[in-house]
Amino acid sequence: MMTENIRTLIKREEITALAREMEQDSVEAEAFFKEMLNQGKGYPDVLFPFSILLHCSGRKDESRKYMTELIKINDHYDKYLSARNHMETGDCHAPDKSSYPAIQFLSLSEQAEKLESVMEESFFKGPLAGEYYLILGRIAQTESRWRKAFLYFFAAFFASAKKAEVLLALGQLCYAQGELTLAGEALREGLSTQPEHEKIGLELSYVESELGHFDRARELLHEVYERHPDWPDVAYRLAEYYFSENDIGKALDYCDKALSVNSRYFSANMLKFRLLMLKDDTSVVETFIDGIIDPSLAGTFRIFHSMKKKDPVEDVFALLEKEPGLKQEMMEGLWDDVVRTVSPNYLKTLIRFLQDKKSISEKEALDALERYIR
Amino acid sequence: MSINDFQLTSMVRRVIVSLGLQTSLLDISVINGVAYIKGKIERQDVAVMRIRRDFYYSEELIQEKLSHEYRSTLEALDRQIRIMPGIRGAVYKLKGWERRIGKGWVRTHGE
Repeated sequence: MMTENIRTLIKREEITALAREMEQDSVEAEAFFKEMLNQGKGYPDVLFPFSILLHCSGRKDESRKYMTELIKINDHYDKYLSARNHMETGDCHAPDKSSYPAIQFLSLSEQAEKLESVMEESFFKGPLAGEYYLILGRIAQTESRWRKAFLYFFAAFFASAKKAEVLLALGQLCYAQGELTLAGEALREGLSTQPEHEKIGLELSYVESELGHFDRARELLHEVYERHPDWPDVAYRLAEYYFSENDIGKALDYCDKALSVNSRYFSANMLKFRLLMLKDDTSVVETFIDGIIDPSLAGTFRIFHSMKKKDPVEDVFALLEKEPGLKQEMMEGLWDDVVRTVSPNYLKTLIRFLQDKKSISEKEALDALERYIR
Repeated sequence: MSINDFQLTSMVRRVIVSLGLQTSLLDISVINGVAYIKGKIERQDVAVMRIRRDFYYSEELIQEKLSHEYRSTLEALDRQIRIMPGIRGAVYKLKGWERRIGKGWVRTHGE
């Protein structure tokens, strides 16, 4: 169980075992990022962990080459600039005993204090070493080696004293295993340390909404949105939240904000269509549909709008013929709420018409009548 | 949409994270209890990297092994989503993959 993987107190022998395995883990991690580079996946960001791994395994010239390549592409990210600076100056900025912030989560500070001597013997210190252990921890996490991931994150704290980054990693580790209470504890402590850390804020908003703390989730989303109005997922989550609160105006507003950044955002387009259908303004719906870039999505919206307007069933049938994938979506229930906005009498006529045209079977027609008209 | 859709979207996202799939490549939402997942399915983990490394001599073998790996992931994804309380259905629009009735997950073109 995950809780056992991280709640159990860390033993000295685990630290020494981890130190022994570190070189092999590093080789494996390097091969992983090299393969990603070969495939062009995650480029250019993948250059960062690759460069750190090379640096920490002693290939400093090669490491600087990759970090320089990364900074040529992305020269405004402090984390990359600072890493290059540390690489060039050889400045390791090892934290001294007094500069460690206390971590209450799982009493990690107390554990670190008790294990100080073995940690000193086993691990390097400094910001780049901290990044190195975080990378090895994330790799262990992708392999479902939870305890090892946890121990590497613990080592990252020892190496760099970076409380917020380590708590984010630990929160994500718990979240991926469905340990929401633990994830919430780690992320809340991380956010209290660094309230402007948007990755922690966003991750915590998902945890809080799953825990049913909707108001807190909304607050966090607003805080992240204020700093990143160009993140359409955040705007869309706010639209989802306000729709759940029946605040159609605000939901529409945030849908528009998401779509202003990414006009092809499917979920935002689908939610906006639903919202406009609720407002019942035909001309606004038509203008919206005309502006949809994806022809299939526009075609789907036209079908429901046409049904709502009670267009001749032959016309709706012709539109349906162009969207064969819609039947499966309707069977899954994706459009139930939209279909229920259509007049029941009109719907009965349409269902019977589709049955006559052999577009749906008799059983499907009966199921549809049962489903939409009660 | 009930308040649960906002919550259910988070739950679906967590399942996706737990399976090691890249959330940044996916559009994830829940609409009236129906999960909607669109985009590209991609795992960036050691198991996938090992397949590429171990079978480097045959692209065909790599694709076969990757298809098997991704099919298992998609089956787990669909199973875990559908058993969530509050979920009534699931619609997938995934690049290169289709879920067909009676056949399960079918690869429609290369990775």
